[in-house]
Amino acid sequence: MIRSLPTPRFLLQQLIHRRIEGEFAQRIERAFPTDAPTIARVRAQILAQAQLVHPTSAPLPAQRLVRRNLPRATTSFAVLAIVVAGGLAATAALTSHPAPSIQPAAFVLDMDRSAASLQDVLATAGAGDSAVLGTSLTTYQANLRKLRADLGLPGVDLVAAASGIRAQSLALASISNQVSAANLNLFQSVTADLNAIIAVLPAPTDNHPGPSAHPGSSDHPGPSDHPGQSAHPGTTDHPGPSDHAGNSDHPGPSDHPGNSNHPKPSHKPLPSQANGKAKGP
Amino acid sequence: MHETDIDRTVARAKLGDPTAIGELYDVFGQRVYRFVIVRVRSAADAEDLLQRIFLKVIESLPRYEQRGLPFAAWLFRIARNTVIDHDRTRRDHASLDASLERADGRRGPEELAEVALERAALRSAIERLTQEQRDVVTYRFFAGLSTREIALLMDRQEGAIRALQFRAIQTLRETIGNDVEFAASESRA
Repeated sequence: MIRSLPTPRFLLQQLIHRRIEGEFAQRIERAFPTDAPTIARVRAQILAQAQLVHPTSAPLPAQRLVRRNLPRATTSFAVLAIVVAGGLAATAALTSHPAPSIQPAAFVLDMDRSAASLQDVLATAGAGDSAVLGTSLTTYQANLRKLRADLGLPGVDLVAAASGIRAQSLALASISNQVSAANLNLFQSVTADLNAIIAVLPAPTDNHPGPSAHPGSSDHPGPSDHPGQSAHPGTTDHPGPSDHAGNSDHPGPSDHPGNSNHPKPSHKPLPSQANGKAKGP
Repeated sequence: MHETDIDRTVARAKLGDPTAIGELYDVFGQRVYRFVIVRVRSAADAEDLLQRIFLKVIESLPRYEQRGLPFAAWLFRIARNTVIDHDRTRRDHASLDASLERADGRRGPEELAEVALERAALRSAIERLTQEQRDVVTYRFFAGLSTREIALLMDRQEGAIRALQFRAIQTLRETIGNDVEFAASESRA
């Protein structure tokens, strides 16, 4: 088939069109400059959130809880929730650490209880005090650093260290649902610390086949980990209304969905605890 | 990043690789931000939307089929729907100018005023386009999509997209030219 060559007139039109296009693109770039600090800030937040959406370790009660609440939370509240969840995840991940001082089953039960309390704390978190929040964050960060340092030391009581972090997380959640701009960097730094800690911990699936330590299969989380429409609202292209539950600054009742977010096992002892036995690694 | 490289990165991101997610953000973050700022009036909204869009993308990644839409087109479909949902629920837009001026720290006051004028003219001109022309212009110039990607995204032929873009730019040139001249003469008066 012979293709006709473009006419000079057509080529000229193309050239003019490309030039106009280029000029227009430049005008847009000039009129709407991108805000580099915003882009960087959002990057850090997204990577922290990605940890929750695609957790590298087994989904834990607290993670599931926050993941369900996350789409409806405000940005700042979500960051706080991530920090709390990250703290809890890091704490729980310690159960798979092969240190002799750890009693995984008892610890997981404790974690489940924490997740239940966390739900209440998140539900009732009121107006924030930035100054207190800043101080608590600093302490929290110091605790994380200590934990990270301790991880390399033999014979350290990891449970006690982890409990400290959990307590800090809960304290943080109780004092504020707002994050001031001044605290944002600190939050990001804390999140980075958490990620660093989680990164050095062994994956629970590798070391922990025991059902008492990890309720549910960690490789293939069951229906409770993927609660269909509520966790993944709408279709890919048209996310459903649950992503936009009214005014995000004042999460309404839909942000606190009653019992469904309370993992059942958290309220009753696991078989191993009932027997007074802990299945360790 | 080439389309095949993007596909490889997407495959890693689907497995939850945080580095891959970071790389995708590095490629598309600015483009999504620019796509969003032309449609909202508040810097906080733009930031919130940028974050929400990427979170949705990460959540939806397991369902993304590489044989279907190119990733960029798929991502901007999510972006567009998120912005539309946002428009439906939020009407309390504040000024975007302050944040854009902050982002533009190197420019002097005179130049900033000029840029603000141009921004207002551009935005107003884009709003006057037909819905399809507006979509093509924002996908092409704000999101940086190729004609092919826009065609797939809008379910049209590439030729039709080129025609829409051509007409849109012609209209914009006429409107912006008039607006800027009008605004300049107003400020002189």
